[in-house]
Amino acid sequence: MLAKFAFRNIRRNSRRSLVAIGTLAVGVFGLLFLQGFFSGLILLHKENSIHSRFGHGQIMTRGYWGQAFEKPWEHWIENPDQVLSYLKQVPHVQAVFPRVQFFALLSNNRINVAGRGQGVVGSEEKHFFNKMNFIEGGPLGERKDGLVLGVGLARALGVKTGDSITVMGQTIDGTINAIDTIVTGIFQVGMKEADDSLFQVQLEQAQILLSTNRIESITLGLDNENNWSTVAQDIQRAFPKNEAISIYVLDQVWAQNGELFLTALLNIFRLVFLGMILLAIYNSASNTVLERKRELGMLRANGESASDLIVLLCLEGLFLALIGASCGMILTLAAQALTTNGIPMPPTPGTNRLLPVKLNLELSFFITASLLGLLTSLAATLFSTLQVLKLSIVKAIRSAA
Amino acid sequence: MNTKSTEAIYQCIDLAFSYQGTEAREHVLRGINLLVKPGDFKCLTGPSGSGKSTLLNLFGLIESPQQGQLLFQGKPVNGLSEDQLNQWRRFQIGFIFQDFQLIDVLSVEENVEFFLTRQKVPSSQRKAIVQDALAQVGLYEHRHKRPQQLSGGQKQRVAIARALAKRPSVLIADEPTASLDTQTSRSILEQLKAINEKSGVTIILASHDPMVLEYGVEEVRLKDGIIISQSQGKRHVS
Repeated sequence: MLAKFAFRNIRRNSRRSLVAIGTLAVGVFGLLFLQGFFSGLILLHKENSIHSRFGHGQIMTRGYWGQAFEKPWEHWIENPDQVLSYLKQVPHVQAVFPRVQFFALLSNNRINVAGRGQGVVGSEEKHFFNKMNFIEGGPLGERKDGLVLGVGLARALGVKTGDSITVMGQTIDGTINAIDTIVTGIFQVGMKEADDSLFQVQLEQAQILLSTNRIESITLGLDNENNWSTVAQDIQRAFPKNEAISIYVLDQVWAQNGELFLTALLNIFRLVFLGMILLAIYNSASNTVLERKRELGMLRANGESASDLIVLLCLEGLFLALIGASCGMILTLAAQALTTNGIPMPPTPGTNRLLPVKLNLELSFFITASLLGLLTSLAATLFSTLQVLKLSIVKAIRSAA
Repeated sequence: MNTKSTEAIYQCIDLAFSYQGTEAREHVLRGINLLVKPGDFKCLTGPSGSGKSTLLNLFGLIESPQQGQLLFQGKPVNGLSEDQLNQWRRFQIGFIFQDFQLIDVLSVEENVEFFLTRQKVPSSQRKAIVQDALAQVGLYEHRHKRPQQLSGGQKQRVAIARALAKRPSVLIADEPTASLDTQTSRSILEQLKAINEKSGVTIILASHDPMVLEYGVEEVRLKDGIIISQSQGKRHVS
């Protein structure tokens, strides 16, 4: 009966209830939309990073990552064929890409520009690394003397597809060496640092330039990102001298810092939305107590304790919150349906490409947003109804209607 | 919950009550000595400010005695905890207010049933009690209506049924006819008298209305916070 009474009380002042429900709906929608949007943004960048640069993770010799060496090739993987053939039969591993990385000068016979080169197996990488976003030409593919480079680097050199570029570097024993290449593609991965310095040539060509058979790293493509830790443990057991490093370490800027930044931003917005809900519900519940003083006095005269009345009023707040939160969730689902192609966003810091962000909504987001909305509403109702404790029954019964 | 014993429902011994006014304490009740027995039908009368409402509030246990003693069913009310007072109000006392105080969002039936659910009366029994209470005030056919669909007299009868359904020892009625026309007032008073005679429930009401005295109630006349007379009213003949 108390629940029925509480539920019906919502309709007593329908305009006020609608305002409270609307505030809650907008609040929960805001919480969900922002979390879905930020999550979509992180997901987009992660996918971009995985399928344009790092894969799901990479294998290197232990201690190599993050260290600077005078002769880095001395720390490269010595037995690449053995490691590669093992990796190809590890469960969840779908693709393995041996790579070397080096610094070199790119020359178009007029000017020289420094760049960070990668030697890759072009014929195999073109399917997995499908987010390189070629704005001119295409991936390396089978072309033996091909070269693809970032848009910033291409602009600095003033080259287009089909132009010749000489890549000059040092062999591992310190001799100057060079290879001649043809530009087959210009990419824009969206990260300025990469677009301004990165270029790729065939692995064989890079090994000729460096005069080595070793490889620096092996990039892995998995069936599912969540299987990374299983795969990493397997590899490290088989090759203790090597270590498996995940995308979260390789791409710290986005995978960690970006996520931390967006989470902090989300928390600020959460405070704003929850503050809005708190004030709206507090106002609504306070007015309810004020307007229904006589009724509350009558109930107390008939033996209802102050805590009984607080329960009654909190139940009303809870019903309002449930309806509001449900409306907020429906609004968010509607927004998701309306933006299936993504919300076009200007480049984020450190990037240089427009990205259509899709709302990434997970069940846990709905639970979190609804619970935050419900708990804030309950807290606001509770604060405002505490004045019932001070209610004198006689004064309440005699108060003006 | 009617008290069948001869033990007094209320006993006031030198009861006094005062409010803090703007300048000095205002003594609303002084030296009240009064006995209310089971089945009594008493009417507190007197001019405004005579203390009848305060005495009624003390009987309703919604105001606490300040001086002297008030015994309810032989037990002193002074110093009782809020929980104990709530229990007594929930089970022993039914209220009838001048402005009915029905809950608009509940139907007539639900209004009457509400305090039974709070008394945790099983639903199987509740239905019969509600039916009986509404039948006593002649409103069973209106049980599905909302209070706003009823006339003033009907609303007051619902309020009586609600108070009655609690099966209290005592009904406290504050100016129950003040908002009603003469004919409706008569019908309400007849109803109360019939309830008093039939079920033996003690009724204490406060009223300005001299018509109340035509219903054989015992008048307790107050003036300036003192009982100046107690007398048996004359029996009304329709």
